[in-house]
Amino acid sequence: MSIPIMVSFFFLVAVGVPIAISLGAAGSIGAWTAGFPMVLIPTRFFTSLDNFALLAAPFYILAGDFMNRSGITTSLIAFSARMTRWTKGGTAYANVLSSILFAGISGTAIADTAALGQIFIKGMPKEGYRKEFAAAVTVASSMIGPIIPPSVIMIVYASVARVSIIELFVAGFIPGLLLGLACAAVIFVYGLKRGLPRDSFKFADKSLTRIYVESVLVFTIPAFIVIGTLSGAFTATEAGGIACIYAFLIGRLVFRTLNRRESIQALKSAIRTTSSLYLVIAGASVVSYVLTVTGAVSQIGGVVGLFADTPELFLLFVLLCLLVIGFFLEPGVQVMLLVPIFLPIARQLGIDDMHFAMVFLLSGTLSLMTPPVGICLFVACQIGSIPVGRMFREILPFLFAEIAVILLLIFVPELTVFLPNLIAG
Amino acid sequence: MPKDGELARRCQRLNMAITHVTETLGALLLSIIVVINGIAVFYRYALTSPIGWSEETLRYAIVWAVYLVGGATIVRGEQMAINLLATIDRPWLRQAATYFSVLVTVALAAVILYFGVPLVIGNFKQFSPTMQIPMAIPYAAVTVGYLIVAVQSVLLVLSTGGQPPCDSSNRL
Repeated sequence: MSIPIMVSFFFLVAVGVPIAISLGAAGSIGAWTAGFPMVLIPTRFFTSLDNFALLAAPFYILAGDFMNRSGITTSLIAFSARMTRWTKGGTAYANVLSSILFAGISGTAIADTAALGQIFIKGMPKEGYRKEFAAAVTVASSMIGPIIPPSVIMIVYASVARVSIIELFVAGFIPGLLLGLACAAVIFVYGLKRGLPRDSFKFADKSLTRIYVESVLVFTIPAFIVIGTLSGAFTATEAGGIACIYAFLIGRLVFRTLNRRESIQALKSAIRTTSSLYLVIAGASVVSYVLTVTGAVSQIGGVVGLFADTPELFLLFVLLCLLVIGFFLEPGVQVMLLVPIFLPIARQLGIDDMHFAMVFLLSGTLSLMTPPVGICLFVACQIGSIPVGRMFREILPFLFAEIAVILLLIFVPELTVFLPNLIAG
Repeated sequence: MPKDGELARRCQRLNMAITHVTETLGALLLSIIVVINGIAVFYRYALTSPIGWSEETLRYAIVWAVYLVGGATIVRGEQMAINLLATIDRPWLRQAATYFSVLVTVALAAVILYFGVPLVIGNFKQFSPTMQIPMAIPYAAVTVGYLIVAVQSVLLVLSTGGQPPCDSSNRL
């Protein structure tokens, strides 16, 4: 059953049919050939999105959009530049630090690349950095976006795997910081080989006190989500809605840059981003359902289980598999199609849910920086007018460093399970 | 009978109008969702009096918002797609791929409409657990949404003459 679905899906994607439509069409073909009642298609399209947990994604996307349009990005960058200006290559490190801070408000890697790229990819070459290097640092560090909470892909993952969103959010802190360290290490080695310029670029025309106050207001968001949720005041989904109101209010009252027109644009942009992601999820849910009910998922799972029979071996297989599949499928589709296959095996092997989730999400996220579907790669290339091939060569050291972080997580599960276990008591 | 250029302009104008209306409705729904969510948290946490209907309203509202705006994401070239043919220097091949893409979109929409409309009609007397509204209302989001997606995809290809959707995104 999996063959007609996969063949039709990859053919449709290859000729340029949108992924959401390709998944829906491939799922329909699968349902029809398997003899399922075709009312399954509209029903799955509805039930897959009729899920309270999925409300969290538009909330966090909107909160990030409000923040971005308020000019918070420039304050965060100015804050990061202040923190790293003492060292050579300060701006490159500031790029990474900004990604870590921006991850606390954005929830997606694409938002991170687009927002920070506009400033760093254009600004760093003025200090003497190569444009390709500036873009590579921006893209590589934007992978932290979906790992440090809040994270849109974690929300999708939690709804598919039926795990706690807040535990996933908490589990993401250490791996996210490790990704940041890995990027910083590559910059350091690059500096040893080729030398790095001193920080001289002025990112924001604001007083130091104002930069600190604005940055603290932003840092409070992830803390507020985690503390509010753990204290039982609200769920992680509701916290997203509160974060929207908070972002809107500080944009209007503190930054005073979020006017009515910008607010409406933010709402429109947020619902479009959500729609483009959720139509993919709806389409993937049909494929996933057909593969599961026809037994194809357990057959594939059985084959995988034959040769990946220890936790480490299995997680290495997941990493390898996602690196290859990541050349064709973006993380949302990977979660919808592969989590139902891999998660039962992981549980059978005694792998902690959070450990598996982090390895899966980090491995899947790397697809955002590899062609031909690496959307962050393309966004950065577009901002910097850089050919994809040249850009990809520059990204490779960062890619290897991030793979090294995933290997570390595979062999040291405590890095992913320590914080969730701590909050679970 | 309008000439080709005139037809393209009319299609583009109509597509822009549909995009404007659906995006505005989607934005309105999203703002309502945020407000209801805030009120629900306030009632439960501050007044210790939870609102029963809020969760169901929010779920159905987001489904409607997502499907309403689906067409706009295609028009603006924001639907994820891998266009392997974009690099090939054969304009007719790229054009054929775009027409094929629209054909597949319309075919999927036809399947959803054909099987979705009876689903909607059959659920007029089925009521939702807390709001007690006909389940036809939330189910209709999928059929209405895919109808809009199909119409906007056809209008897009008519207005661009078969150029890939992402090429036309800047026009809006």
